Amino acid sequence: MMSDNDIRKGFQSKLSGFEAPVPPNGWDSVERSLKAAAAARTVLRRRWYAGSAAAVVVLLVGSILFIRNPMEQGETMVSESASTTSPTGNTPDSGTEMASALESVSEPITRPVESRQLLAARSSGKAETGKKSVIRSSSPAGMLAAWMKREKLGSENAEKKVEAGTLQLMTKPEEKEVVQEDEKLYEEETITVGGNEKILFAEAGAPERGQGTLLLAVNGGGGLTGYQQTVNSPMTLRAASVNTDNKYMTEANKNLQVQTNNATNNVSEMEHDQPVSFGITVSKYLFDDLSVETGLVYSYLHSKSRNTNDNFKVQEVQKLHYLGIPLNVNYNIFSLGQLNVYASIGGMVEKDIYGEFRKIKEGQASANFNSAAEGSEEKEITKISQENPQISVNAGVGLSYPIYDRLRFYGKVGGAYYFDAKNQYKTIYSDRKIVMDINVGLRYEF
Amino acid sequence: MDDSQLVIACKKQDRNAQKILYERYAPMMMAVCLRYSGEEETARDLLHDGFIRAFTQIGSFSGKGSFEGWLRRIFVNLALENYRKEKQKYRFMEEYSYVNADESEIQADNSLDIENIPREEVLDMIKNLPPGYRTVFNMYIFEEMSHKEIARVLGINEAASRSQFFRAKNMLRKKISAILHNNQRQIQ
Repeated sequence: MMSDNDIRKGFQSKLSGFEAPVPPNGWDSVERSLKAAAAARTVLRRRWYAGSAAAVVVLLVGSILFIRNPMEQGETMVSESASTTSPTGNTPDSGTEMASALESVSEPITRPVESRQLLAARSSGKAETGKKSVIRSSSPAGMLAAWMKREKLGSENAEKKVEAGTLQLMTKPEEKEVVQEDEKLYEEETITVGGNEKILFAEAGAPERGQGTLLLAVNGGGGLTGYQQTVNSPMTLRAASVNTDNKYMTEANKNLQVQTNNATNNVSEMEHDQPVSFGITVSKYLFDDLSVETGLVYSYLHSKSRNTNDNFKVQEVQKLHYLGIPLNVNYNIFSLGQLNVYASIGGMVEKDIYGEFRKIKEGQASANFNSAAEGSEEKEITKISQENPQISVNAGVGLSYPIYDRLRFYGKVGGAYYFDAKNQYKTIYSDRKIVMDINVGLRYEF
Repeated sequence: MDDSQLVIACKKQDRNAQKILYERYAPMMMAVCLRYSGEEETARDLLHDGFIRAFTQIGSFSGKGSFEGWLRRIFVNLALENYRKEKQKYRFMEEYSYVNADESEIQADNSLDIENIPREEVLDMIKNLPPGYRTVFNMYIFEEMSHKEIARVLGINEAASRSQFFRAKNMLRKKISAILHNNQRQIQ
């Protein structure tokens, strides 16, 4: 009785060093193949460089497009009120003040949300003593204009004496009166530096929307439907505050202002989420490294908008489900074992198969604007569909790996350009045009 | 020139060194290929592909072990890859062999005495085993792999590996008996 180990030893010793006859032209064949392999390695190396360069270019272009796209930055534009008043104090040049007020009304200031601005105005060299400057504006340009105006006014009424070598914080009575009566929105401080004054600071405080100011707001409750034709980035609702005492204001406008009295902090945003796609494709090799690919790709598009102010809130969600038929040409750049690295170019036709538009209104927006329907909420769900198919072209670099027989798992990084389908409902396709994407899926090669 | 010098030269793509190594090891590797493939033509292809792979990957040979052992592993791996590719084709043949195996003929005797059998005939016996049996037998006997390792490499379960090895031994035993019987007849 032999154990398996004995059998092993017996066979190993029997066939140890056993030599079988080799084919006579064996070495010639190997030598030829080695030369061919060396040439192929050179080609492979070149493809590797080309593929790497292509991948870097795609990533760079994608990154630039991604960064430059304002939608991705999530920037919110918020209205800012510019305060103007009618002259009621003892300001000598009241006509000039009124003209300035009207200008401010017609030119609302809008800028991205940011913290309080601090302006430091430096006067280098010698400054004229005895002159005090009141600077008020929320923007550097506005502050400069106001300062210049005050400089003129101040030259007529300013104090003449300032003690040298002392730093004194004081408020000029006349100026203070003007501030309190005319421009309650701003905190003003006048810092006078006597003698060899070096620095003049003025801080423009955050506007206070207090009594005596009203907002004339232009806003929309439509959200997606309200600005679907033109808006592809967060929309700013602009507002300008106007004093009711303004004698140039018509009665009708005053009434409108009363209605919109508290409609502040208007924010309108629209945001498209990245599309989610998956598909099943088949690929047919035309030549050694060149194949055509087609199949069926499902995409889910999700967009949402938000319109809010202190009184109302409208949230809208748009969901669209697309089915697309791609047609791509893939070129194998090189292979690492069973892993293929390929470049792809092609196009796709997509059509929505189901769409939904959901609107939730809260506050006054849900009711008649003139009625007091505070706290109410309304929901609307509408089925939507796009009229025209969406056509796009795409390019990218991908990897594929066999998981079973000829079935390969693939992943592709690239970008697609979406032609304007002139559809009613705006999507990321229509607003962004160029969408960077990562596709993964299964592909059957035959 | 010894192997280490030849390997260094081969790493520099020295064609002469490659030729010397080929001529030195090709007959030995051909025997390995024949033992795994069972067919002359397939063995030739494996021999060719194995040397191409060896010369293109020779940079990975650290020189710690024997060159022969490293080369042999390349050929065994290549033969196993080939087996996996052809597995679908073999499956039917093995199922056929399995169905036709007479379980009653399985002997309790575990001896496989090949001492008096020529090497060529031993190789022929192995070559003529069904592909699955042959592969498991080669891996277990010559590569000294356990059934667990064989199962992992071939993607089968351990019991299947044991079963195929058991059946391979039985087939060989019958052939050995036949050869010994013939030899005795010729002597008489």
